[in-house]
Amino acid sequence: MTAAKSVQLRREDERLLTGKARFVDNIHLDRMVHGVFVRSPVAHAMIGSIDASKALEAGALCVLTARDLPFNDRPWVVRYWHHSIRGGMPTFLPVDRVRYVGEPVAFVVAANRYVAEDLAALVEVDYQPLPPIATPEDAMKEGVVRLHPDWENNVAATYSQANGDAKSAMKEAGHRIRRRFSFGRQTPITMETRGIVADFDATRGTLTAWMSTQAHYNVRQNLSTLLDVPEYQVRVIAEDVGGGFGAKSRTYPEEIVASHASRLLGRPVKWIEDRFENLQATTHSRAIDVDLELGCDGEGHLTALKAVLTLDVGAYVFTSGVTTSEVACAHMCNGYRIPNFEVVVRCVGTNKTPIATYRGAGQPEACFPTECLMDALANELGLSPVELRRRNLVRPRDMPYEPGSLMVGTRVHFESGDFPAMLDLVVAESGYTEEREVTAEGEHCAWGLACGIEGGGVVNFETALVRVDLSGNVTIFSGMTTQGQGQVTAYAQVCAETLGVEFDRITVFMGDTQLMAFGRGAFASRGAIFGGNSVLGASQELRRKILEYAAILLQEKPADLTIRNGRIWTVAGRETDIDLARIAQSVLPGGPLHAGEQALEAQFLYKADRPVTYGMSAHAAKVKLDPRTGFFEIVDYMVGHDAGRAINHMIVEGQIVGGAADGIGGALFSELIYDEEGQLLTGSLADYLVATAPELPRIRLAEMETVPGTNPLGVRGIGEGGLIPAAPAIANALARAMGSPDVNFEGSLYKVPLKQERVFQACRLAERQKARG
Amino acid sequence: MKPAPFTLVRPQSLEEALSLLAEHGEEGKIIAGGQSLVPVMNLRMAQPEILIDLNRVDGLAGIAFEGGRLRLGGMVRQAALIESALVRLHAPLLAKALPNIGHVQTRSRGTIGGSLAHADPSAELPLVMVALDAELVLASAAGRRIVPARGFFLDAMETVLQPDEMIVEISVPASPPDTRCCFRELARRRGDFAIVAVAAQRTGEQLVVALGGVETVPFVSTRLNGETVRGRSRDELGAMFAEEMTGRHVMGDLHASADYRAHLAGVLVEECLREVLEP
Amino acid sequence: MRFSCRINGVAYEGDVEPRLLLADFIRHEARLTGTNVGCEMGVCGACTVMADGEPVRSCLMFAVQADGMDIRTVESLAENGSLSPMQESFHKHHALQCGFCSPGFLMTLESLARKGALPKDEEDAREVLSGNICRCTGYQNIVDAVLAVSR
Repeated sequence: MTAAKSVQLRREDERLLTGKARFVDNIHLDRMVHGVFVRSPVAHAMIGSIDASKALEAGALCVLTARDLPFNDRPWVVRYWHHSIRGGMPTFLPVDRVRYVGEPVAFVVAANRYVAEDLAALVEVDYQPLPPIATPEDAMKEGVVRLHPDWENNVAATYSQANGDAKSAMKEAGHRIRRRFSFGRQTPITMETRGIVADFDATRGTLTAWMSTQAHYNVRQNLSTLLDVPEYQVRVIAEDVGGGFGAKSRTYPEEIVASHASRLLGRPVKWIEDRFENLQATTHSRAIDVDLELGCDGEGHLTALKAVLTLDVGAYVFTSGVTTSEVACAHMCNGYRIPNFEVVVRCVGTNKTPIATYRGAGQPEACFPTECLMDALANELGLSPVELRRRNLVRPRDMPYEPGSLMVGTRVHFESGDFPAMLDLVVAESGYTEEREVTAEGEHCAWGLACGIEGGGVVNFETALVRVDLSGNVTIFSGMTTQGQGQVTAYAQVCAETLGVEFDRITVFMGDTQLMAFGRGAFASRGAIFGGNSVLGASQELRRKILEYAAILLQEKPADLTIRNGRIWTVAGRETDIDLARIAQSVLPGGPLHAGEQALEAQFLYKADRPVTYGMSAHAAKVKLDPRTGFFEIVDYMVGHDAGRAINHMIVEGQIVGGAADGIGGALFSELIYDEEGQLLTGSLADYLVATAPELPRIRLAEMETVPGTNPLGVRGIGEGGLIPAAPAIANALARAMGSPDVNFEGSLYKVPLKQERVFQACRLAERQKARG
Repeated sequence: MKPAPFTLVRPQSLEEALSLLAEHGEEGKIIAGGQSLVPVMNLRMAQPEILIDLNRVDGLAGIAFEGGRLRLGGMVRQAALIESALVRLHAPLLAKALPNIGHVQTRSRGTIGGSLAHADPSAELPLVMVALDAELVLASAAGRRIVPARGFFLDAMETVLQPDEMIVEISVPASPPDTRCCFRELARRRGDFAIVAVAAQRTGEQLVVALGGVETVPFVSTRLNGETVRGRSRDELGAMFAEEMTGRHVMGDLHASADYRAHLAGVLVEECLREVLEP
Repeated sequence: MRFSCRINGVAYEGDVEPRLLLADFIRHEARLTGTNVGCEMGVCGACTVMADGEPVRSCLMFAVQADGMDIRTVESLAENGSLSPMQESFHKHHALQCGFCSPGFLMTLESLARKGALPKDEEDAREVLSGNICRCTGYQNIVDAVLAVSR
């Protein structure tokens, strides 16, 4: 099924490996000064007063608070907004009330970061405490103060999706199972934190911002409308970005405030988020509790699903709205045929950092409950978990299949793929068994599996321009950004193949709003689906033009010509003396073929009828559990995935393995913990844990290639499928290692992360159940 | 974040260091490897006015064996301990514990004296020194005193060190050749501070079992000590330890509750006993 | 406070506040921005440099403590425009994605390579790399890159 593997070493690597990258903190400008934010140390309080006089006396170049921001009551520019949201977006700095620890309150600028921190400590803020809201449960209690005027019962948004008649179907179901699950609060942790160097040039009326962002055009829109600078006089550059994972796919207040400070001071202003701020003030994610019920007939065919999702949305609805809850809601049925479902979503406010996207963006949160409950249901039915899944997965003959749910405004649509074959592939290749082994040391080894779907693409349209210069070299300009996913290499490959030019003669530029009039950026696994297809479209259009010009020069028909290694050949196989340089020279103003174009180039805006391409992945995990302690190791791990047509197998595999590692690390370690006062207890990387090399298994891959018809390249998203089913695969393996007891694992195995202590509690439950017989 | 301002002084000799320490007392703070101090300074949770840097003081980084004791200078780096043949020979328990400490980049700077003075309740070196009944030589401008490791730690991050004192040497009784020892720890991840760590050593009929991460300071089990274990089965010893634990104030934190720590302590003690007691 | 050190063989004289972190001196004074800072508390390993041959967290040393030291950063690895064997191996094994953590990994490995102490099996490699966090690769290709050089 898999064609010869396409591998191309990355163009990006050399500069990154030799220390020549241009991450935002590597930018040094003349007269540049440094800012630091004063952040709220309390979770909930009225701001009585802010006194910056001591900081100013001690030499602060400026101290900005809400009253210093003329745009503070203006709306953000957002891409998409769910209709049920009841307001509650943050202003750029808070006027009279803080709502989470780490909320920026004032911005202090000084000669360097060290001094700025000294001065920030001199800003006196009078906080008049309000009772903090620690959990969604507390938030909805009667008499609790509202976080925002329209948040009745502190519900920021509520909505539901349904298909068929879930109530009656559930009532009539032969078997029913219902459990509560919890996916803990996590945050993406990019190695490079956020940051900006803002340089407002008053003489030209321009603002240039070097930033660590995934969404440079959205940042530009916000900077332009908020600071009243015409859009094309704002330039946002994100040349090298040290990881995104959803953390940087939106505009944040800090970026606007720092840019405003640059204008006020007439100097470049740098703000680099430190790791402590990063854990407090970069958006959090996950934090979804699910009460899930599945119903099936006597043969294990699912007939009904009912779910209530509660998202702990934090103190504000941030600039990406309630997207993760929408994505989770849309995917509760996973890749299964469930004719009747009803999913109710509540996004509940608390005094915590606002929620936004993190790799998977709702898909892991939906996959975890559904896939754990599938195993529990199989157990009750006396069926193999594999068999139960096989009976319910959407089959090729069902496709195109629409479960009836909506994701971020588009109908979920499984266009192609072979879900049951993917499951079978992983079962066969991994060595998955349903037998439990007990080692001589008393450890229990067992496999578990989970399936997941990944919707890639989402935000519809991306732009590219391809140009041939006078020496026949090719330059690609893209509206995308990159945070390490290898777009520079992949786009050059697409162009090389389409145009018929050597890979080494192609240069790729992206991550700069000056390149294209408009674009979007890299998030939602859209790098290949949107960015790649726009490069394909521009390359195809350019090829068509080149062959037309060549036909004139050679007095042939375009259809009889082709391009190989940058030269024109006849289709019949004869090399001509015309190359791309010659054509580029000819079409230039003054050239013999000039017809009004400024260069040999083509532009393309790729827009899809179906902006989301779905793919399926299946994970199988083998754990070795010590039931005496709850400590366990993942001793084997396989991911089956379908990338569609892989532009570059090496990059695809890197994305899948990296995603799986993040999924495993998140499943095992990562949890943002708050106390009852709303203080973040896991405020450093010593407490908020991510996986390091020794905890991870070698991840094996099983590849399937089914080419989707949703986009011309035939690619699927690869950024998230490596992650989505990781947590349930591990939880299911642990349950089996405990002997698949008929136990309700709520609060232990049904809570991510699967901390050793929770696993130990599950072991205890399993043992007690065994003792009862 | 970045540290608050301070003055750094760089004594070249121990005498100079001690006189600086006497002079600056409360405002002064010693920096050895800096692997625990600088993180809290970067967070501005520690803002010493004067930092006395021991990294240029001669004669504090030696490893020697004399008079039946291993003598470790306070500034011996963790990396040097790992590489030391003397440590492997005379303090095998220490050698077993060392790979659990931090990472290659922190062991290159982190020192034994710094780790002991920092007194993290879950740290490996304090636990091992308590287990081995090491003696700490504390020096001040006024003179020296010797404090047993078992009396050095007062509470989490708190020791008997006076503001004008520093650890100049750790003296560890050499373990006889027939010594059997075992070090076990459970941590959330590799290189993290332990949730619970147990160090056990048996020489002839003498047994010592010490625990870290259980109370706010590392301690020697009172029941699993000395010759009391002779003739008892492992189950009996386990029961004795469980009884001892009921009277102890076990700490809990984000990573593990008190009950869980107490349970893990029992499991690790059992593993250690199996390793050092059984033929 | 005055101090001097060599960075990648070049002599640097500094007159800086004692609190200036070595990482910040390297990045913002010497303008060698290849060394990245990821956490400022010695946890992530991104800022690892070599000081007198030893791998150290440059966020946990003050610049003035480097007085008289020989500091090596990622910029020193490629000589005469060609990548070092480990850099080349990272490239061949796709052992980096965003590349922010790579300099820290490379400098940790460089110090081991110079001592002839590169890990030779997967378990040791993972152990040695435990002080460096990477969020993109899942470490697997880094392990492969290291083993390809050490074997």
